[in-house]
Amino acid sequence: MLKLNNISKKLGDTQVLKNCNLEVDEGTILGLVGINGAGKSTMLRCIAGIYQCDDGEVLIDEEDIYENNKLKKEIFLIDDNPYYERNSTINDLKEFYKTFYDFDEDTFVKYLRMFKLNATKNINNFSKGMRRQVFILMALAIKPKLLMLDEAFDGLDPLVRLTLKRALIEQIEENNITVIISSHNLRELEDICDNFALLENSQIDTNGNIGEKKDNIHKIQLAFSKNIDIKAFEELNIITSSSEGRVVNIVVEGDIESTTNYLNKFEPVIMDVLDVSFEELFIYELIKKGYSTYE
Amino acid sequence: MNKTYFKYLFNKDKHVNIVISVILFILMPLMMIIIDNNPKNLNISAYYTFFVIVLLILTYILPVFSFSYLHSKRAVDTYMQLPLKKQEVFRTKFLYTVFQAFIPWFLNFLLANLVFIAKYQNSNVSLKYIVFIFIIAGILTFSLISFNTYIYQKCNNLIDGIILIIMYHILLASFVGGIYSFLSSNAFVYLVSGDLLTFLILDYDFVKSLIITDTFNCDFVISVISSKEFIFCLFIGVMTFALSLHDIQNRKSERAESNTNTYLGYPLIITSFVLIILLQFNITGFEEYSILVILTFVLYMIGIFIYKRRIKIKIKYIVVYVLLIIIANLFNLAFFKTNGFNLDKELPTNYKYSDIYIENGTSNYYEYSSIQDNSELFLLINEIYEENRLEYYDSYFNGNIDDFRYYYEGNWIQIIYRNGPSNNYKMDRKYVDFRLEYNQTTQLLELLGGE
Repeated sequence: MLKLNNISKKLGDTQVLKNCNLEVDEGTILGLVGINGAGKSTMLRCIAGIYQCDDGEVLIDEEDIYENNKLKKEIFLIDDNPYYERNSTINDLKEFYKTFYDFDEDTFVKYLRMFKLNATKNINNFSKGMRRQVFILMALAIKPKLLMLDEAFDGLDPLVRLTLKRALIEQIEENNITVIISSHNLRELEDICDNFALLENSQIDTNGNIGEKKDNIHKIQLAFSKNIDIKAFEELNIITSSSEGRVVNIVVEGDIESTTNYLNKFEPVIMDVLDVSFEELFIYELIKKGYSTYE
Repeated sequence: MNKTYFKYLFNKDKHVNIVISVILFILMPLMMIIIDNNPKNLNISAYYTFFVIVLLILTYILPVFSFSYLHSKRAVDTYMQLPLKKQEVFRTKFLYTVFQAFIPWFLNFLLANLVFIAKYQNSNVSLKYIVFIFIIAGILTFSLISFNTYIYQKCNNLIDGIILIIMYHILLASFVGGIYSFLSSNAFVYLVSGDLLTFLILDYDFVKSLIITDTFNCDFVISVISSKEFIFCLFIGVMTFALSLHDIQNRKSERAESNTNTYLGYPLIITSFVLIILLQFNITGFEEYSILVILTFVLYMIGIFIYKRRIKIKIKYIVVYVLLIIIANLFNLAFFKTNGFNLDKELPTNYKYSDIYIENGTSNYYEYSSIQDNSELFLLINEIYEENRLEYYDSYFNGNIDDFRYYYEGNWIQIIYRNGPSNNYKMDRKYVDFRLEYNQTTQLLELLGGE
């Protein structure tokens, strides 16, 4: 559905994106992750046709998005700080978007009630979270084929976060929409995303299915009857490790069966394989790329 | 243009449009209804003064609001992701801005004319006249909005946009005024036309002179559409609109809220102003010159500070300033060495002569008006002009003339001419003084029927 072909973008003197490639299938949710300033928002703006790429192309259904009215009608980006005219109300905003998009009034009314928002009240007086709900409401009523949410869960209370996730899943089921979410809230992304892309150092080096990636990284807690040096596990692809006495914690990348078979050779008293969360996966990916954490 | 979007803008701004309409209604039709029931006391020009000025103000203010989306990161993100091409958004907003400024103005103009007819039962107003005003004033409104929009969209943030709109207009006035002042100080006044200046007030005077005309006929229409003011405005309007469309197509969204770095922005404005100021210093002595050059440098650095938003003196700025001083001095030197690039050989065209004022050595003076039909007088004036001006200018440039003797001991002639085909020539008139030989004075006086 969406294909980024070698896109590059410079903002001022800074190379924000460099030869980025990505494919997103229809009806899936992609979590776009990266450290602060990695270029997530810039990438979303390139996909939305707000920024023109310096190189490469953004294709949606094989057509370039930039200055393409037909395609732009099918996509919608909710910025982290969306724009509305001073003193406008939800109804004013609805009129604005109705001018350009096929607006579903029933969906609008449904989610307006669900979010418990007052359509005639000045948006200026809304909290940050409420303002975000307003734009989520607009996006849901527009029913785009590709919906992008920048810092999606910022400022939303748990109830609204849950409502949003349910609404997105509902839209995927009913209309087969594709969603890209950028967020630092990886626990929320893990609940909802099928795939992820890690933007780091201006490039997407790591992407794929979250489940598959998690299956390939394992956190293993081991206890031995005698002290053991971690260097002994030289055949394993260890991402990070720590040891305290005879207890060793390692994070390993690779097939779990061959890993446990290998570790059994060292006759551990206890060997627990623990699940890795998406947040841990993100941290381990960054550690692999040379980032360090505060110990 | 996108009709749906235009319609949306119209509905969204209905309150603003009502306020504009009410202000214009108070200034024209309402004033006409409540003031002055005696048609003899009617000063229609006064009614129109503020009415036209409000239109002018709208052409400055409305583009700033309409195109503010270009200068806000948040707004750019919204507008650039809409399923409308960049040029389509621009064209729609532009036409809407012209509409917003002009239509309330025109409707009140129409209403005022109806009041005029109803109240005084005497008017030259015709349908043709109304249509003509609609077209001409509409085109002039388009031109000014186009010019201001062009400057505004060249900038990257709102503050720069407002500053540069103001500075560009002051620059135009300073540029024309600078030339005017420079040449005036060298007695070349008759070479400078005030036509360009009218663009700045587009036509406050021009539009007013159109709408208060009492002789609306074919000749009048031709004289308006072939006038320099109209052609100049139309040219500026069309050109800046085309340039804006081109710029919008190539505009990068990420420019919003950054410093304005186009060469047509601060660099042009700052260097032009500094050059104009430096050119004025040719008449002062060295000490005064040095002080003025230092003061101008301070102004120059203030300009750089506003441009760069930081205080830092770089070698580059000093080099540019020194270059400007050199250019200004070289220009002044060349001007004086060539007697004003031989501009002194130019004569004003005959139709511009209006009055003649002659004084002989005994302080008797004679003033004659309406000399345009006297062809014999024309020829003689031109002859005297040819002979005397060379002596006059040579003396001026060589600094040999004895001003005291020139004014108090010689006979002299003052030729007053019009600065354009304006009705208010007495307001705009300029003059040049020439020294006369005694026999020429006699000849002139004879022709004029004097003593």
